[in-house]
Amino acid sequence: MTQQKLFYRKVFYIAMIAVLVFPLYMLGNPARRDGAGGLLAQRRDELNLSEANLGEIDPAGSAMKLATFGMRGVAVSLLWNRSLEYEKRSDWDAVVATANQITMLEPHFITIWDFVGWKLAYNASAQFDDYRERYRWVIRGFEFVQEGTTYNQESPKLYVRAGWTISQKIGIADEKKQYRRLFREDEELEKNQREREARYVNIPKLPSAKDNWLFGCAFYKAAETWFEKRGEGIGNETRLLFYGRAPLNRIRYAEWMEIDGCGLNKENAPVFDEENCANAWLQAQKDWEDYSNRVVDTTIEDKTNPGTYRRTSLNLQKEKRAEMDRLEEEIIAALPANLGETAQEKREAIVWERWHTILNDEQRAAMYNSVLYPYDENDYNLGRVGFGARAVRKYLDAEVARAKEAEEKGEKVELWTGPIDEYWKLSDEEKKGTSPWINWQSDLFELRMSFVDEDLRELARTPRLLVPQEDTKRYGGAFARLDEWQGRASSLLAVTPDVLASYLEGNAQAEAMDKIAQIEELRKEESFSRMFRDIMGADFHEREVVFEQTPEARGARKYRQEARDRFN
Amino acid sequence: MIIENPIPPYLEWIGMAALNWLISVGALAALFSLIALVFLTIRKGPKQAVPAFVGGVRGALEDLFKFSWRRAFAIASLAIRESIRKKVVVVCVVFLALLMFAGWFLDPSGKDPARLCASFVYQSTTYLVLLLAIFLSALSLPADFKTKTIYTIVTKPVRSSEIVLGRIIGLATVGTAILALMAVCSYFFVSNTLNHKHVLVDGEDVKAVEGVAEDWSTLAPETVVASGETRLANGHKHKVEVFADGTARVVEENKHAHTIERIVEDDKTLYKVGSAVGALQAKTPVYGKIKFRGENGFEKERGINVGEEWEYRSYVAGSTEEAVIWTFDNITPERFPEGLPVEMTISAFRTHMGNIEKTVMGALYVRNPKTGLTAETNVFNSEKYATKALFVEREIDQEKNKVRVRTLKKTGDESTFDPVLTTADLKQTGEKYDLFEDFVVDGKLEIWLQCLDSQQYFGAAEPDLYLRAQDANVFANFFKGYLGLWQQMVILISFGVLFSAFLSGPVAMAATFGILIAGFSKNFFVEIARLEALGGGPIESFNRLVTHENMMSDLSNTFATQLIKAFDAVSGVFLSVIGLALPSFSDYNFYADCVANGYDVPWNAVAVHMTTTASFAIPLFVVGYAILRNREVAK
Amino acid sequence: MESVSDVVVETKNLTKTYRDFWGRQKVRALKALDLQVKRGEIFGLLGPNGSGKTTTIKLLLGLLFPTSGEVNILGRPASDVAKNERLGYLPEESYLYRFLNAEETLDFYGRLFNIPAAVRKQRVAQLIQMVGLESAKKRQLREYSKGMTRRIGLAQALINDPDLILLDEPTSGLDPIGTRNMKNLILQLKEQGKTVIMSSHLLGDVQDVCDRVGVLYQGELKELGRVEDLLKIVEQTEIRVDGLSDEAKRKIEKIVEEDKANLIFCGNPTTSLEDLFHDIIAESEAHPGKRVRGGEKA
Repeated sequence: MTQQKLFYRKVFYIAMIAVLVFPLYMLGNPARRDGAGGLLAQRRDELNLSEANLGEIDPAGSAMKLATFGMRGVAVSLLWNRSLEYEKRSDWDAVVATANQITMLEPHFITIWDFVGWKLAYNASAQFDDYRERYRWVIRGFEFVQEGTTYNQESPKLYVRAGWTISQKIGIADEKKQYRRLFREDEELEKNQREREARYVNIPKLPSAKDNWLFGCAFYKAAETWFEKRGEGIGNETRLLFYGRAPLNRIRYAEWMEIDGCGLNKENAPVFDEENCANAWLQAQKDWEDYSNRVVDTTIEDKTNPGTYRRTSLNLQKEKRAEMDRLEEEIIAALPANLGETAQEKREAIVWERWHTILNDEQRAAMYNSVLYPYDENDYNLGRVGFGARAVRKYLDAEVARAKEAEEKGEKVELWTGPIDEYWKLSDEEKKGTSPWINWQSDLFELRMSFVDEDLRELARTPRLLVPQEDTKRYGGAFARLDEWQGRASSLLAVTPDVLASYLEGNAQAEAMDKIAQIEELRKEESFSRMFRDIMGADFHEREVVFEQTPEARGARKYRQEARDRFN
Repeated sequence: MIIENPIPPYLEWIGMAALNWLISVGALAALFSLIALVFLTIRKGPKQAVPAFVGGVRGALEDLFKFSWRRAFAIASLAIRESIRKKVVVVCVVFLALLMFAGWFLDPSGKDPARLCASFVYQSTTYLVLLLAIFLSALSLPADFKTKTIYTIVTKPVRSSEIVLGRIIGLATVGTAILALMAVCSYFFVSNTLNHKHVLVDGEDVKAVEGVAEDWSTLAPETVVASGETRLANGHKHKVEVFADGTARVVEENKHAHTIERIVEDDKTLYKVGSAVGALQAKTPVYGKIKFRGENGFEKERGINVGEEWEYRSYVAGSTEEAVIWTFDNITPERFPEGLPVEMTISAFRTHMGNIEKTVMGALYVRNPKTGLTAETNVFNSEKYATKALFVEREIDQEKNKVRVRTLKKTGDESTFDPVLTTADLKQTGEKYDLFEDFVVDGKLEIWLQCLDSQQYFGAAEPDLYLRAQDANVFANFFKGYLGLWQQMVILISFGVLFSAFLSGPVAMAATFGILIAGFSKNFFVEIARLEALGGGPIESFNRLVTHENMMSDLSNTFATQLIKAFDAVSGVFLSVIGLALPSFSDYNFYADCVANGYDVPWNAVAVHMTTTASFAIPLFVVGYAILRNREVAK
Repeated sequence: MESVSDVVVETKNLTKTYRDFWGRQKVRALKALDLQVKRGEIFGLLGPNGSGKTTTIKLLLGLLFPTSGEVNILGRPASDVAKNERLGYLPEESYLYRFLNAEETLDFYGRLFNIPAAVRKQRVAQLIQMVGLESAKKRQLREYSKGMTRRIGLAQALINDPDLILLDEPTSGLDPIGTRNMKNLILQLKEQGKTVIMSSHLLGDVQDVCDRVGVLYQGELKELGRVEDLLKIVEQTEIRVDGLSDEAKRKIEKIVEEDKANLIFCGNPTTSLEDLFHDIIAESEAHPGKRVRGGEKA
């Protein structure tokens, strides 16, 4: 090999290297703030694989990961076991330190952030005696989870946990008053949060009102944003629950505003402001409405379309109900005019007709001859339904009375001897006493007595009523018949669409049947949505809020009532 | 501090321990002699066996007792030089780098930053030094064998015992030097991390107390004329008090305080808050013996269990006669001239929320063990998980301190814990009492602790309440903390040299590493060997891991399972023997714990541990020597 | 009759068999060797590679344990470390610590002999002088050439002024000058009354130096005896004469004929290449410059 040949060879190699560098750059250029980077970086981005996407890159963490020589999982397991030991000994500082080490090794392990944050806020805090310490530990748990969100910016679960901790633990715990006060006065938390906000642009911000509910709201919103971006991340949690948290927080914010004011003034005393309260309620109502209108996936499979899930919203129930009612009105409108002019008249007429068809002559006669309503056959247009209902009631009463006559008195008394004797067990003084229990027993006694036949009542007022055995069987069937009648009554009084349709003929009936089919479909949706609405609404509608109230806050109360009414 | 296994006084301990050691060593020696005899009989025939054995023993004794220190030290200095050439200094550099990283994730804003910081440095030093020890000791002898430099040694009149001992000493010296260097670096790191300053601005942060006179000179010097709070630093603030004499004081927070200077210039007052003081401590606790008083006044070993998984502490109920009692000895006016500084870390357990704003209340009493005279000296609000300091004054003045005294009264039944103490019995008698004259008998004193809130509980273990004698030197204590690590290192080096005497380098390293791991989890190891651990012995556990069975359920009774269990039982015997011979490395964490928690390392503990270390090192050395002696150097 | 104290090394029935891991015999390195080495002689152990020379040396030193038989050195068994007091060993390769320099090495081994410091210092200096490593005494052994390594090895073998010195292939791998120096040294040691045992496969060197020789082949001693006795060719006579005229040469030839003996050779003998080499080197050192051949010496 001559010198010259060697030289040319070298030049060739260098040229080849230069040529190959270019495609390498295209492929491997890492993603930066201002650029998407090369092909590989872009693919990483799409598939959510790269570190720069998932959160911060942490040098200390990287160093530790390297130091484990690839046995990261083993190290984390050992550390986890160790933290359980520390927890057993209530050495919470060590638990935190160990958790820090674990998260440094595995920052993308969502469960650890979630679980330890919860553990600190709930378990660790509960073990301390001084409420200020407890508060500190709740905040520690919260900040721990929040740190998790900086490493896993896309994880809705962590945002939910952070929001949950700061809302529920501070706002609903036994020490809620103390915690809320401490939260408002917490300078350190505010300072830390502002620093974070300055560093990371897109994180939930501490509201200037420094209210924990609002703060939690911000987290819930962040969770929703990321959930929608990613399309997944909250596991199998019902979407309705997931989206419901933020509006509920708003409601609670408004409620609490009435209790401890809208903020703190210079002397750290609460300030009550009617306008602010009103605005809070308005915003809460608006949020709730938006939420009610939101159509989301549930976790219940759609059987007609396998692989997908049924979708619903809270307001869907109203919509469907309205639709169902409209269709029913149409059917009624199609009824023949001889039943009446208005829809109401038509309904009543139908009820009357049904009674007519069901009752036999004797029964009908009895109805006609009922004591309450002297009946004029030509006048049966008047108040049919009302008459019908009253007649039913009276008729039932008469039936019952007849049943009693038909059966032997002893059976009834047998039925009630036991309970009645409860009353007789009381001593004379006790019977004269006025404790609520005594009163209740007396009332119960009277009620039971009302079921007993007139002539037996006297007997029943003496203890240990002795009735011949054959008599006892008499009244047994009466109540069965009573139940039956009551059941039939309600079904008779209910005028369902198919009953209405039976009054139509031909084309009209066919149309009505169509509408009935539609109504059935709508009913399914309606009941499905109603189920959720009942669950969610129960929290809002039926919960009794019992708080101390200041005079200033009462003014805002009317807004709450208005909002409530509107929700209903 | 939490001490689960208290270390008995040296003189009490040494007798039994020495006996145990002699028995085990004797048993091992007898076993080996038997094996050796059998071996020799096979090899040389019965006639030759005994004289050969005797000759061997004589040679061994000569080697062990007549060896030359000069030669051993020559080998030691060679080992030192060899290690230095191996660039052992790199380890130090790694450590320093680690210290720099540590600053990023050590959070000094916790409640007890000193503890976190100190435990971190001890932990990281431990990892590095022990790994270094393994590395050096396991590769030293095999290197000689590989390069055959051992030939030149063995052909000099050097005994195997000198070789082994020289190596151990040399490597231990290197390790000690590294350890010392790391200790110094750690000390500076810890001081640095704990150091911080606060800002204090007059007028904004410090304001005059309402109603105080303008002219301070008219007031008594200790009157607090102004108070306030410093600014936030390291996650906390301190309250500040200014006194009438112009001095100021920073109140302790997060286990430390600061120096403070108050300078008045023209019209302005400047406050200079200095560096942290008292963050690292070296308290010297004086412990007593604990017992409990049950509901009926009976004496018990332990109190009530409130359902905690960790049974270190037991509890007494509040607002009852139940009490926790500590008996102290050797209480003299010379030791505690002004009274008893009591510190306690008791746990409070609530059965109902009670008053959220207040913590559970308790009371402390001193009681004369002989006559039963009792005085309620302190009523306090408990601080769970924190150390509360109380002072029992020497002069028990009922007027000043509002204490109540229970007068002497004997109740009838001698079998109950006599005399019965109820709070109803306490009254103010108006007399003055002296602690040492009226309450201490022959140096003995009882201190009682009771919970005052009904349906709440106080929990304590023996080390939870102690008297704080004169603090020890913090600087010296920090280095004493490394004694534990030093002893671990010595044992590990002995093991390393022993293994390397007959195994190749990497295998010896793995074996020594195994000893390290097993030593740190000795209890667990012994549990598994004795099949006492949940989930059975080693093979059974492995089976459960692979088949995803949990620890609690029984395995199905197939032939394979029975085989596994039998195998585990047999191997368990061998493992038990190994387990008994394992040093318990985690015991040595005591030193680091002491320093991290701010306590002085007691010399008694040092003596006990050193003796234990020697009791390991010596047999290891002997076995190592024996192995080397009987090894064919050339292949 | 030699007295017992004159026997420095004695082996009786010395056997060494290398076994493999399972205990089966692999190689019978030495078979029932009976050997005696007397005080003050230079004993050579000869044999091809694999004959058991090195094994014998190691057995003598106690680096290996015999499978059967006995070996006694200076009156003690080989396994007794105390025998090493009066023993020196020069291995074939350098088994010294490469990170020490020459002085430190000798000092270290001196300490192993419990030689007090002052004596040690003096002896170290002396030995370094003797082996000619004065200029390199502060350099680490890893930087030494082969010859230098051999020399420092020799120095450490002599640090304790031993009575018995074992040399394993002392001259192998050395250049002619080194070889000559080594051989001179060995002879010097003999003059000091020391016993030397050397093993070698370089026949010429053994012939030059040893008094007695043992030949090993496949673990068995094939021949043992004094060199001159062994090498003497009894039947022939060699006469070396300086300044013989041609006429006298013819007369001698005639005498041989009359004696009915066989004249094998009569002419100029050859010097050895070794001697020629040494002469050239010596001359070059004395008179630097291109060598002048034949007749023109200064």
